[in-house]
Amino acid sequence: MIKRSGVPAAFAGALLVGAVTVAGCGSDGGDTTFSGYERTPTPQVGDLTLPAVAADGTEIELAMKASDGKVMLVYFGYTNCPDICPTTLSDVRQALGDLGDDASKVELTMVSIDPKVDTPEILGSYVRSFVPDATAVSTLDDARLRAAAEGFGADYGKEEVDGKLQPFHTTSLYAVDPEGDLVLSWTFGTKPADLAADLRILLERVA
Amino acid sequence: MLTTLKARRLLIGSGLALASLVGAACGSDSATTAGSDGTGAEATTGGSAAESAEGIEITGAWARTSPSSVDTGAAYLTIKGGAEDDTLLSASVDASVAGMAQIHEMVPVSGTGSESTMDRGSDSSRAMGSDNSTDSSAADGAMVMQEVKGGIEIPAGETVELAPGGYHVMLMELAEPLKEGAMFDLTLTFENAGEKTVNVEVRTEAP
Repeated sequence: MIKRSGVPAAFAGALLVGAVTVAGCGSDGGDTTFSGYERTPTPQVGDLTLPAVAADGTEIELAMKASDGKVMLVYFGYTNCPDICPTTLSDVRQALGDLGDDASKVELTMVSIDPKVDTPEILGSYVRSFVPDATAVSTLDDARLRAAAEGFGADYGKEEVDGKLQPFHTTSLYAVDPEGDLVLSWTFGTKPADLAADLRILLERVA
Repeated sequence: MLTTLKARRLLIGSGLALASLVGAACGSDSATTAGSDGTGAEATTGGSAAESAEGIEITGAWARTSPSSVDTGAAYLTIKGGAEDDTLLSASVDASVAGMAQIHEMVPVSGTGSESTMDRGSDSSRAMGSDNSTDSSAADGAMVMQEVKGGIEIPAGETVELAPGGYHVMLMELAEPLKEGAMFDLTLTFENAGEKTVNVEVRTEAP
């Protein structure tokens, strides 16, 4: 595992100043209790909205904030992604399995960074094959998509690989609380059990 | 502990935390599922072992279940080098499984080639990554998939993982979705050891 705990003292101090304090942060060694990492200042994404399709097929303007008492997970990816995306979504599914009943307090949203291919139907079917009540965001309005991604610190685009344009994207998974605060980010490869442990802490905070 | 060339490369390049997944990807022997639903011959043994005179050993071959909305998938496995250095050149599957198989790798996106990729969000997260003692200027960076050129070196006696986030065998034009419990044959071609066929188990989670 990458050591998110190796945070320099100055940085840890900055975290303490932030609205959300990390339990254990700033203690000797700088260990945090999270496997994911927090950013300073905490990005505010709650004012961002994107057109989305909920699990029941309803078209909604989805605000990037969790419902009361819940935590929203946001992932930027695409369906023709055979490795990173299914691995992450599978890890989320396992983490939610670990959470048991509390899984219903976690709202997964997948945002397609390849919306021309990922129609709302395709993306919805894809992400719900991992997490049945997930919300799918697929918009052809690139300005809004870009703005939303930037709010999360996520990058995406297409890069020419062997003469073909290949989608790329930031591989992190993000957690947003009901205030719209991007409270935690996980790098690719975080173990499901660690995701679940972090989610338990986040759910306690929003309860 | 296994030596994982890819993990080393990725840690240098991106700071992704592969260790856990890499660990999880080896040593599978969950041979409970053997249902062949027409995706391949009922071959040798579940997930374990094609051994050659040269001693190249392939274990833990698995592929993740693929959502019905896509026609791509990925297979993973572990290769232990034999008495002499070798190179994994290519992979293939029967047309009844997929139209094409290629060896791919995930690499950090090289630059800022795409338009408007420079956003404050990822800048700050990258800055945070660089604060981290470990490495990872691109801890929160973007990844892109590319075909491996020139094959994967398999040094004598060393173990190389094809694992999520690193190398994978990408299956394109899947004849049908990869369903849990299915098995199919995957043929790997090595420069010296020649063709080795392993039986791949389709699983929802990494073994």
